[in-house]
Amino acid sequence: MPSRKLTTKQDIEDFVRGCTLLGVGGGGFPQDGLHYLERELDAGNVIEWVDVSEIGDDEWTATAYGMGSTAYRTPEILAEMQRLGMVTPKYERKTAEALKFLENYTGKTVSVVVPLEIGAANTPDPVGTGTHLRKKIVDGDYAGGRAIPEVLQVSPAFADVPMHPLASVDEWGNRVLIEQALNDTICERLGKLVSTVAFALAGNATYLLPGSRMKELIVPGTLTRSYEVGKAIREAREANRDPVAAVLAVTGGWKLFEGRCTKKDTESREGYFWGTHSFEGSGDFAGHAFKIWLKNENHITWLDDRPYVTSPDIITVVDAGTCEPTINPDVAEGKDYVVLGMKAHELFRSERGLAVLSPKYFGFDMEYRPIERIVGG
Amino acid sequence: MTTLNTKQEIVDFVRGCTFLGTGGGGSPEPGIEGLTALLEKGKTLSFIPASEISDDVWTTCCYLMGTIAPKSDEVMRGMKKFGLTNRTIEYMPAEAGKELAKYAGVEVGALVPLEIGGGATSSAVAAGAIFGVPVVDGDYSGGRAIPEVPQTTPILFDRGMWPMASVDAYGNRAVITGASSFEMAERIGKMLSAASFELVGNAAFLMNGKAMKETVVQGTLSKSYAIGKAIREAREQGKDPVAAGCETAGGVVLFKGKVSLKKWEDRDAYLWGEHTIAGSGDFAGHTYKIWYKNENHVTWLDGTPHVTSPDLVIVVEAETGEPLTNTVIAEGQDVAVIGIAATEVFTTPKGIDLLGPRHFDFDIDHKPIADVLK
Repeated sequence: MPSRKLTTKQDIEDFVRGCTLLGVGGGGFPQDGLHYLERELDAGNVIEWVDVSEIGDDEWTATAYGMGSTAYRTPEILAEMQRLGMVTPKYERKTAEALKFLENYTGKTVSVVVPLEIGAANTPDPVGTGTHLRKKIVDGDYAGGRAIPEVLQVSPAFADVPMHPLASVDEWGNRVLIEQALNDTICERLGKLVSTVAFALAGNATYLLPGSRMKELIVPGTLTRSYEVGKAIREAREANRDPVAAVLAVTGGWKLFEGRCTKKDTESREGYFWGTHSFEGSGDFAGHAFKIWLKNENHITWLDDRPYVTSPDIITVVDAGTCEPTINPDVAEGKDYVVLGMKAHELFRSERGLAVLSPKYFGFDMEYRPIERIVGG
Repeated sequence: MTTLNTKQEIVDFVRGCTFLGTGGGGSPEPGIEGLTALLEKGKTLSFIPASEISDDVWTTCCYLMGTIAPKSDEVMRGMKKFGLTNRTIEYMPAEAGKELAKYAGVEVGALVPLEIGGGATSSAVAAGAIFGVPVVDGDYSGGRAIPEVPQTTPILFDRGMWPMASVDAYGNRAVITGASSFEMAERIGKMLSAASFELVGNAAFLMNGKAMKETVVQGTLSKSYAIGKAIREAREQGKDPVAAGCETAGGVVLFKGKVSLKKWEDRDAYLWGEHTIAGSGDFAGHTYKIWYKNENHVTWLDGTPHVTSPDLVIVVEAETGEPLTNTVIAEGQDVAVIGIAATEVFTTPKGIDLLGPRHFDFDIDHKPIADVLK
C-alpha cells in the first residue's frame, strides 16, 4: 500500500474524524483540521501520504505542528493584543512558515513532513502544510498513533534526539528560533511560553532528521489507520450498524463505559487544558460512575472511584448516538457518551515511555496496568 | 579612552552606574565582582568615545534581560525540574553577542551599552573585554536604566531591534527574528528569560558604526564614573556625599526621610512596587511616594504627582550617598531622593510617550522636573 489520497470532502471528514478519535480528547479542534485540508483541496492540491518505505534514507525530514493552546480572548486580551500590534494576521499558514524558517536557518531542504502526533487539527496541520509546500507526507507519527500533551512524549525524545533547532512562527509574524536547548523539557517550555505570549497557536518545526533516522523512530501506518477509523464510523452509520462496534473492529479495544456527563470541571492554565469529567452510567453500566482526568488529553480514569484504565493506553470519548468523537473542550454536561479504550503502542509501554506518560508521571500515586489486564478478562 | 585600572576605580564606576540606574539596572555587586575578576585575569576594562568607531564596523548591544527578584523555593523546585542546575555560561551577554553575530553572519567590532545601571553597564564593559572589542562611552537609554528594551533611542530613531539573540546560563540559545511590534519582541525576550527563571544575556540592535553614532547618547559611562568617584571622595573628605553626587550628576535633592513602607511583587519578569518615605529634617511632616517598574518612574509629594520619567528619580542612602536599587531598599532606611532632568532625546513627545507616566498607565502628564520644582 504505497500511498493514499484524500480526494473528496468526505475523505477529509473521515480522516479528521479518525484523527479526532485517536486524539484521545486533545489534538486540537476538528473544525480547524477540516479547514487545513479543505483549503488545500479547494486550491486543487493533491492531499496524499506515502508509506515509510517510499522515503529515501538521505532525504531530509521534519515535523511541523501547532504549539500552545487557544485560550478564549477576553476584551482585555484583545486590547492587549492590539497594543502589541497583533491585529491583522500576517501569515495564513504559520506552520508552513515555521518549516520554511527551519529550512532557511539550517540551509537544508526538507522533502518529507512527519506528523508529530495524531489529533483532530494536529495531524491535518502537517498534512496540509506538506501538501501546500509540495512535500511528501509520511504515513505515521512520532507519538504512537495518539495525541500527547507534551512534546517530550514522542519517540525521538525516547531515543535522545534533541528537539533543537526549533523554529516557531505565529500568525502575527513573531518568529523565534530555539537554536539550542539544554534538554527537551526546557525546549518545550521555551516553545510553549513563546506561543503563550502571542495569545495564539504558533507553528513549530523541529526534528530535522535524515530519512534513515526518521524510519527508526516513526510509528508507521497511523494516518491510514485514522482514515480507516473515520470511514468505518461513517459507513456503519450509513448502514445502520453500531458505529462503536465498527471502530472496535478496526482498532481492537473495549467499550469502557456508557453514560451521561454529570460534571465538567476544567480550566486553562500554563498553556494546557486541565480537568475532570464525571459520568453516570446507563444501559449495561447503569448504577456505576466513571471519571476521567485530563491534561489536554484523557489520561486517568476511575470506575466507581477505583483506578481503571490509564495512559499510555488510549481513552477516548464519543457521542453515544453517532459515535462522533468528542474533544475535551466540547464534552458537555447532560450529554450521553461512550468511552472507548484501546491498547497503547508498545513504544509507550517501554520503561522510557511509561516514565513520561503514565499515572505516576502526572502525579497520581497509582501503577499503570495494561488495559487488556483490566478489561480483557 | 577611559580605563578602569584598580578595584577602587571599578567600584566608583559601578556606584555611578547604580546611581543613574534609577533603582534598577541590575545589582552592583555582581557588576563589581565580574569586572574585578576580569581585571585580575589581566583583561582591559575600558570605553572609548563613539567618534572613534568607524562607520562600517558592526556594533551591537549585549545586555542582561529578565527579573532581578529573589528566587522562591517554588522557583528553585521549578528550575530543578527543568534541569537548570548547572551554570555553564559565565558571560551571558557576550555569549549572546556571539550568537547574534553567528546568526547574522557578521563580525561585531564594537559594543554599545543598552542602558546605565550597576549590573547592566558593568556587564556591557565586561562583554567588551571578553569579546575583545571596544565598548562605546555612551548608551541607548539616555544615561539611565529603563524597564523595557524598546524605551531606547534606536526605537526613537526607527532603527530595527531584531534579530535579537537570547542566551541563558545553562546553554539555552534562541534568536528572535521578527515580531509584531517592538514591545512584542521585548515580551518574547522576557518570556525566554522567564523560561529559565532568571537573567539571561541578550544581544540586539545590530547597527553599523554610522547608524550607532547617530543613535547613541554619548559620554554616559564617563559621567557615571565621575559621579561614583565624587561620592567616594566626599565621604573621604568628610563632605556630604549626597550633595557631591547630586552636583556631579546635575541633579536636585527632591526629598529626605525614612522608608516607612515597601511594596513589591515579581510579575511578568519585572519587579513592580511602591516605596513610601516619611519626611525628616526640612521635609518633616511630608510624605513621598515612588512607583517603580524595575526603575523609579512616578512620584508623589503629599499625594500630588511630582517628578516622573523620563526624568531620573534616584534613591540613595542619606548618610553615605550610596545609590540603592529597588531590590535592596528596606523599611526603616534613611534615604535621600534625587531628581535629574532627562537627556534631550527623551524630552520630545515621542520620548515622553515611550517613557512618561502614561506609558505606565498613569493618568498623569509628564511635567519636566524644572517646572515641577519652580
